[in-house]
Amino acid sequence: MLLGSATEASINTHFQHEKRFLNDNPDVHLELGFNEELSHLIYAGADMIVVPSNYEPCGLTQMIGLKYGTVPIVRSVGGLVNTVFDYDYDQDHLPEQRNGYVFHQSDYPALESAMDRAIDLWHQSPKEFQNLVQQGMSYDYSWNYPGKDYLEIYDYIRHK
Amino acid sequence: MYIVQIASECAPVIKAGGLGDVVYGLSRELETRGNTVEIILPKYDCMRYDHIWGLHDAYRDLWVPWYGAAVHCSVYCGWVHGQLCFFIEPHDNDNFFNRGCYYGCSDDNMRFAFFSKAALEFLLQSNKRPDVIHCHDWQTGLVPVMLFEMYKHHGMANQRVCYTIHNFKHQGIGGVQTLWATGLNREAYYFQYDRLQDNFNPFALNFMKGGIAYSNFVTTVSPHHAWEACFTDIGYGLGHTLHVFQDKFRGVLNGIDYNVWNPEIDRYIPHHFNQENLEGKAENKKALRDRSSSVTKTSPSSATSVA
Repeated sequence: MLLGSATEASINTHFQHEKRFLNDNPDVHLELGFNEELSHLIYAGADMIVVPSNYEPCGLTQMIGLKYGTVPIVRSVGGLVNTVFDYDYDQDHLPEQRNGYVFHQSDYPALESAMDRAIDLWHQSPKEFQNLVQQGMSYDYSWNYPGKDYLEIYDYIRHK
Repeated sequence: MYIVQIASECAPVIKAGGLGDVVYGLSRELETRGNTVEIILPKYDCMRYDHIWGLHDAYRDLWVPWYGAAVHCSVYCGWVHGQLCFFIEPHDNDNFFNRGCYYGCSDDNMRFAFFSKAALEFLLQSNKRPDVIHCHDWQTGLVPVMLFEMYKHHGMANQRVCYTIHNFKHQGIGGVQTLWATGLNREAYYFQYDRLQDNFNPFALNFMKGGIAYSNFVTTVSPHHAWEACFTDIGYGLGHTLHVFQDKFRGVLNGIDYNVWNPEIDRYIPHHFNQENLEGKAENKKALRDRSSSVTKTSPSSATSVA
C-alpha cells in the first residue's frame, strides 16, 4: 500500500508508470495524491510502516505509526534514530522497550533484510509480533515531553 | 512564563511544512502547562482565514523603521484553534505578504527581514515584554540579532531568545541591503566570520548563522539530527558554526498531536482501538483491504511513506 505525492513532477510521473504497471497486482495498491482520510485508515489498518528516508530531521510518520500499533521499519537517519529501536539488535534498550526495525545502508538488501525480519516475526510468532505492537503503542510521542524540554531550556536561559 | 513565538507559519492557518505544526503544537502544550503564549505571524493574503476566529485590529499604527524612513503597518489579532495570534500587515508598495504565496519570491530575504523587524517593533511599541522569544528557521534569524544589537538599548534588555532550526537547507543567504534596510547598518561589523558572514561566500550574509550566533539557545528537531547537522554535510555548511556554539545547541524531538492522531478517538477510522484491545485494528485492516480491494487475506500488510 502506498499513498503520497511529490513536489517534483518527475517523481510523480515515475509513480504513475509504476501504478499502471502494478494495476492488476492483488498484493499492491498505489494511491497517488493527498488523501487525509485514507492516510488515517492506513495507519490504523497496516501491520508495518516502511520509512526508508535519506533525510528526515524529525519524522512524524514513525511516531504516528507507533501510536496506531503499526510497526515502523526505518532507516537510521535523523529523528528516526531517536524514536525507533530495533527489535533484534538495539544496544541501548531492553527487549521490552524495543518497538520496530532499523536498517542503516540506503540500498535494497538493507531494506529487504529489515522487512524480512519483520515479516518473519509476523508469520512465525504472531504472539511476539503483537507484543512488539503493544510495546510501540506504550511510547508517548505527544507534545508532553517536548513541552517539558522546551520549558527547561527557557528556564535555563532566563536564569543564566 | 510569558512566551512569544515569532514564526512564518502556524498550522492550520499558515502551513507549508512541519514548521507550522511545531509552532502550533508547542504553543498549545506550553499553555496547557500554565504559560502565556502569543504567536506573531505575517498577514499573508493567501492564508486560511477560515481557521481564524475573531480577527480584529489590535494595533493600528505601527511604524516600522525601514531604510531610514518608516513603513506603516497594522497588526490584527485573532484565535487559531484557541491560540492567540497576531498578524502583521505592512501598507506599502512592496506588498511583502500579498503575493499569493508564503515563500518563493525573489526578495524573500527582504520580506522576512522586514517581518522580523516589524515583530520586534510591535513588541517594543505595544509594551509586550516576554520572558522568552522563540523564533524559528531562517525567516526569523535576524530577530535575535536585532534584539541584542538594537532593541536591547530601547528597553528590551531582559528578553531571552530560543531559536529552533527545522531545516538547514534554507538559510537566508543574501546581500548587504538587508543590513541597510533594517537599520543594522555597520557592514564591516556584521560581515565577520563570527557574526553573519556566510561560511563559504564571504560577500554574503547568512540569516540562520546570525540566529545561531546571537540566540541564547539553539535547537533542532531531534537529537540525532543535531549530531548530523554538526558533523555531516546535512548541516549545509553550518557545521562549524554549530560546533563553535555546541554548548547552547541541542536536539529536542518534536511531538505529534494526540488529539488528531489517536486510534481511540480518530474520526476517520471505522473501528477504534487501543493498546489493551487490538480487535479494532484487525477490523481496520479488513476495511483497508476492502477499500484497496486486494484479495490475499493471509499476509501482513505494510505501508510505505513517500516524503
